[in-house]
Amino acid sequence: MDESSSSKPISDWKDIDTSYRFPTLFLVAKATGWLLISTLFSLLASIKMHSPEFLSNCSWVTYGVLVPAARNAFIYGFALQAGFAAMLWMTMRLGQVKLRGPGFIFIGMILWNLALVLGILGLMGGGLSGYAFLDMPGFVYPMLFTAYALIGGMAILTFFKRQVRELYPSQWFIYASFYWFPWMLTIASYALFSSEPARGIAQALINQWYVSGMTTIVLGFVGLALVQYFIPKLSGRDLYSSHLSFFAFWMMLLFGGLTGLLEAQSLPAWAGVISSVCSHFVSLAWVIVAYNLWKSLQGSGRGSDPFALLLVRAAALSGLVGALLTAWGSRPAAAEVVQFSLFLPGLTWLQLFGFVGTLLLVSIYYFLPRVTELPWKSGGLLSWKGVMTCYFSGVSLISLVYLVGGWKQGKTLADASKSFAEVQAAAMTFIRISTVGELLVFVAALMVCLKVTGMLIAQLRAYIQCCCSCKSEATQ
Amino acid sequence: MQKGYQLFFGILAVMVISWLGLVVFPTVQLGHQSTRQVKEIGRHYPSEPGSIVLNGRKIYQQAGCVACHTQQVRQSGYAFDVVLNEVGDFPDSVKQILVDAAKLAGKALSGEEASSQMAQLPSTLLEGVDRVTAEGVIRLFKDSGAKVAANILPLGPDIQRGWGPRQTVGLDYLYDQPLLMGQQRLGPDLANVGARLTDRDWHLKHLYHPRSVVDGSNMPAYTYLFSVQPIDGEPSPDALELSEAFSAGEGMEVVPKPEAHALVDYLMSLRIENPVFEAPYMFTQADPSDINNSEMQPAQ
Ligand code: HEC
Repeated sequence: MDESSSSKPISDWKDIDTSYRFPTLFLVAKATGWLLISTLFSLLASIKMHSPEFLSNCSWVTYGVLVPAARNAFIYGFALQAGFAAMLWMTMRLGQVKLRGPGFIFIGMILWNLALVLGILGLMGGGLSGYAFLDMPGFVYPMLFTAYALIGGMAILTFFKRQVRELYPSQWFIYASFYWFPWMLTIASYALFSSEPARGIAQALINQWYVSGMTTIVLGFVGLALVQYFIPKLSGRDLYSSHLSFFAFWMMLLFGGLTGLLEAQSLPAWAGVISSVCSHFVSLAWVIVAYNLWKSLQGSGRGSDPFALLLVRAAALSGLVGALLTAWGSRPAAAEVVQFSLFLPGLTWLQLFGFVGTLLLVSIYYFLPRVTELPWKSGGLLSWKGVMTCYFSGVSLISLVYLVGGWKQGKTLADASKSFAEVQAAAMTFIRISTVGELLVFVAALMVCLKVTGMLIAQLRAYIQCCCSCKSEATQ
Repeated sequence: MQKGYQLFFGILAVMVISWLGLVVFPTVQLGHQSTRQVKEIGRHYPSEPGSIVLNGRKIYQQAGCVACHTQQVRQSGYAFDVVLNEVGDFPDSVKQILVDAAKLAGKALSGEEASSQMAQLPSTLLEGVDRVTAEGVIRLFKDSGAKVAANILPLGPDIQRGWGPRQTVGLDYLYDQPLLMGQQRLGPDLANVGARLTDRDWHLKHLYHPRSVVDGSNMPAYTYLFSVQPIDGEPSPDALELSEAFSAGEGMEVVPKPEAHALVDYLMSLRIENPVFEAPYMFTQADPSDINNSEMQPAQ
């Protein structure tokens, strides 16, 4: 990759990294905070699924409220904010340029988090919109858009000033992601929340367009950018072919718009067919990406950081399996069974938490010490190894349990001779096990939060010390 | 891909294609749907929901019931019952046709059995046959003077579970704002729950504590929709009659708040009560020459 072969003097790199230090630290700190909130909500929801009386006298924490709250906190709070940090990092590192307008980024970030706090509180306090991935009340989206314009605007300015003109595949993916996002947010939130919203069944299509775009393109591309950044970085080998990446990139962009919509009779028949076609093309693009990564890794040694490399591989595998299962599930024979079952949340866990989430955590682990020039405090349970093992095993457990349990639940549901109590019982064992997974993920999120907060405090302390010593130097 | 602007315009182009194809086109195609006259019920369908129902719908939306309940009924196909309604003026030839018809459907029918079928009308000649057989049989009766009909029976586990007499179609959601079709079935489908569960008290008790009416239910309790209050002199007429295990305790009563009533109003308004063009059922067609008219053709 170009940055490693660069001939930049060390002091320039320092400059570049310092310009980025505080914006990233705050972005990452907020992101992990939201991850903690999301996993807490998710854990509570999971408990509510088998203990009906748990927290039943409060309208703020019903199951139907906790699930979307957790989902939105994860997407907008954790994944997008950590994704912003990764985007800024790549823009600067791969373009060898200083970050422009950190102040604007800071303001944007504050506005973004304010919008999110209001949105999540609004959602819980009776403003649940009913649209998946857009569950927060309508007033939030213009705020998010404005905040995003500040962050994204500065990223574009930095991008234009870059010294390395050629774009590396990771850059295509991450820019496409953050270029697609504001468009999609504007269109979907306008179509669903304006004074003349889309009516009837058209809402379902627009909503699914957003969900699919968010999963496959916006967050999926953040993950793909990171995976194509880390595999060469950590294994010390170049990416096998950027032509293959190029091909997969456009294919996913073209077909990522309507994956995962299962044929349902209430929808026009073409919707299910298009969605199935899209899901198949996206899974094909995924196979190409996987082949490319596999080729890049062939014959490489253990690399500079074997554990991180292992995690990146595991994350890529989750993404691949997720895409293949989405395509498989969109076939009519399978859709009949998995539709309306826990299989679909299983896929979401695999793609969002297993693939994107793992890579974002690896990126935090990798970037922060380089940006702050402070090492991670290692030790005992709080080591990254422990944290990530906890996170990934929790996520795999939940995905597996939902996928298998969903299949079983769907099978029982499709057999009309089984009563609904039996359907419920078929899913229940799996739901109970998933609570264990939720607990693991929650603990991991808590530990990540502690680590990042520790880093932030250490950095602030170093900064204050530096200021003081500068002052005393000046007075002497 | 070397240049930033190539990337910029390329993505823009794809975005526009995606937007036109997946947002604009469906909105235009589906957005202009309007209510439709349905012959069987003699009025336009669907009708606009009243304000009480809308209030309840809001509670349903806010509480996130959609996380566990769908409102969409699936259907895997159709079967047909062929019914003889009138014999007409030529009973002998009809009797012969009955025997032939049974043969066509792969069954044997003796003369006496045919007579007994003709004796008590309406009588079901064939049950659950496919479309081709039903059409063939009805065609046999052409010009015989007898009146036969084909009843359309939707098939599929959802239908068998009693979750609705037919599949749901786009038209059913015309007034759903926001759409609450749902994607998860941790609980039963509710598209037709108003027709299935008609007891208001049952619904209230179920919301207060699902296990008080359904053993081992995993639905969460919605206690906050009720006020638990000390009985002040006379017990409130509205108080729930709960069994020992679920009662609020000595001297206390559980009274539904207005929100609970609104929600139950909404639940009881959820019904699928009439066939529509895309999803016919129990459709009676007396004139065999009409068998091919479009009303028998399900949309897919
Ligand atoms: C955690 C998932 C969950 C949530 C959230 C949920 N339910 Fe249920 N619901 C169930 C389950 C499971 C059943 C089946 C057992 C039973 O009848 O209690 C059920 C059954 C029902 C039934 C009876 C349907 C039938 O055919 O027997 C109604 C009515 C109902 N729910 C209404 C609601 C309403 C209204 C809400 C929102 C306030 C809601 N549910 C929220 C899981 C849920």
